[in-house]
Amino acid sequence: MSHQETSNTSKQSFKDPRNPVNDHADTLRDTPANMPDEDGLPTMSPQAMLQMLNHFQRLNLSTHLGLGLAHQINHPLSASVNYTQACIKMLQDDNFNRSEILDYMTRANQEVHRAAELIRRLRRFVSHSAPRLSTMNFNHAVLESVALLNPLLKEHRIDLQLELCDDLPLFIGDRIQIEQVIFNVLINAIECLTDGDFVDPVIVLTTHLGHEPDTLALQVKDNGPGIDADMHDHIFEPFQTTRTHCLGIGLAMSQSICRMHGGKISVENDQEGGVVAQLVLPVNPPSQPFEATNSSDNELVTDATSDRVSESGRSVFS
Amino acid sequence: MPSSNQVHKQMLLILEADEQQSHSLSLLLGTYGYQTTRLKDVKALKKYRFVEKVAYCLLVDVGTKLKTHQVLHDYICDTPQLPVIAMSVASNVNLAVAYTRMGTVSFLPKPLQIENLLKAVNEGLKLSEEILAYRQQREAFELRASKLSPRENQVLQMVVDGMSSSQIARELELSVKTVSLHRTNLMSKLEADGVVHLVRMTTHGPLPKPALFWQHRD
Repeated sequence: MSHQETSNTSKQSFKDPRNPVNDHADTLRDTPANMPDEDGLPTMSPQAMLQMLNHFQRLNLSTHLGLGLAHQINHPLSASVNYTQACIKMLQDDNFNRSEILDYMTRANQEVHRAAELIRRLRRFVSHSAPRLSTMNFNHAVLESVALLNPLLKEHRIDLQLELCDDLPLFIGDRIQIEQVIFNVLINAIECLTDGDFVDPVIVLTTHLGHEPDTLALQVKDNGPGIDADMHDHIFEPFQTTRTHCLGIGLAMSQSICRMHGGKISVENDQEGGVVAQLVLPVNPPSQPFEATNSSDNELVTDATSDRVSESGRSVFS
Repeated sequence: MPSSNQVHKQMLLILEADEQQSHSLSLLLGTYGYQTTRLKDVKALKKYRFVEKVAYCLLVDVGTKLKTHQVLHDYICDTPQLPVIAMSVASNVNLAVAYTRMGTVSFLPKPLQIENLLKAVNEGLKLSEEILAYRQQREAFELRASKLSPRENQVLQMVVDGMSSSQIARELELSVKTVSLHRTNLMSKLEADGVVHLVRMTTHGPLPKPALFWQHRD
């Protein structure tokens, strides 16, 4: 099968005929990844660069922070091994009843599925695909990010309280990128809570309708020590980090993704202590950022992560 | 399988954040005849700070980083009377060394190998039994020793230090006959068969510790 055919098939399978919104995806995908510059040499387009940086950050997220697949996958496998070993012992001793064995085998089976599901989620999260718009339930994106982080939350015994609004309108955006933002914000909260020793670490995640029409909002609040004063003004700058094992581009990337979607993100110290991150997104993102652009401004990536958003409130890509 | 000659009731404590793993482990140990209690969090451990009539052994998931939980860390360091088996999905050498040095009975990588699990659990319970026996012996001695008069206590100390009755008599300005009487009385109060027995019961060895594995090999 030729390369061309492969990409066509994947395009076909992605399109949902019942959902015309997905047609946006074409404009996204058709953005050339490499454009020849004046010398005729291929240079990377700003979008492609941003896209790569996004992907890079997701990879970084997944490899660090204890999310090493090998560790996480061991949790469900471990439970499964215990259940099956119990069954083996009962069968060896000829001391069992059918319903018990059935129950334990079912549980073991579920655990193996849980392991497979974790692999699937991680693979999808770190997959390198062009940004594409789709219609989604915003809460589902939240739950997907939470599912990825569950082992980490459990390990640090953090109580994550979800308060999801049932009446959110359907949201249009790049699902993986949105999950990346939610993931980043949650990771930040987790890191805040694991720097020291807190007896009852709690993260409260709320989704609700935005104040402005056709917007929705996400709020993540922790009960940690808050952001240091000298760090506070620089949190959205890339490579600003107090941690040794991450790049420090999480919030910068999150901000650029939010802007692409026409929304905004803020991270502040809460009056009651801890950090509160607020994300506001329009239900329909501006169309420009997802269209091809002729700009060859290589500073665009930096642009996206700095405060130089255009006055009109449109995205940095316009 | 729990040993048949056990003196005390045996109980395995399971501290595991993951519900499925906690449940499956409790069930697995159940099929091998062990009694288990699943603890909700580190705070629930406080109840088990002192071993009394039950031989306890704690199986705990220590996470993948050494600094996962300071409370647990402190607990393992501060509570030598409760044998601890550390479990982790990370088979990380540094982590294993750190926890072993802290005094855990074993460090088990997950998924658990049944042979290693059973070996660790048996070692843990054996240690707990030894600690119980040690404490009981000590408590029994202290109970008997509490019946000694101040003078008898004085004489006891000197006997244990290796002094003869005449030396003690000179030191305390008593007659040798009186010292001999004190000696006879304190020997009977402490139920000692002779001086050697007396010395042995007054000088307690250290609290039993986890056996190093090369000493434990058959």
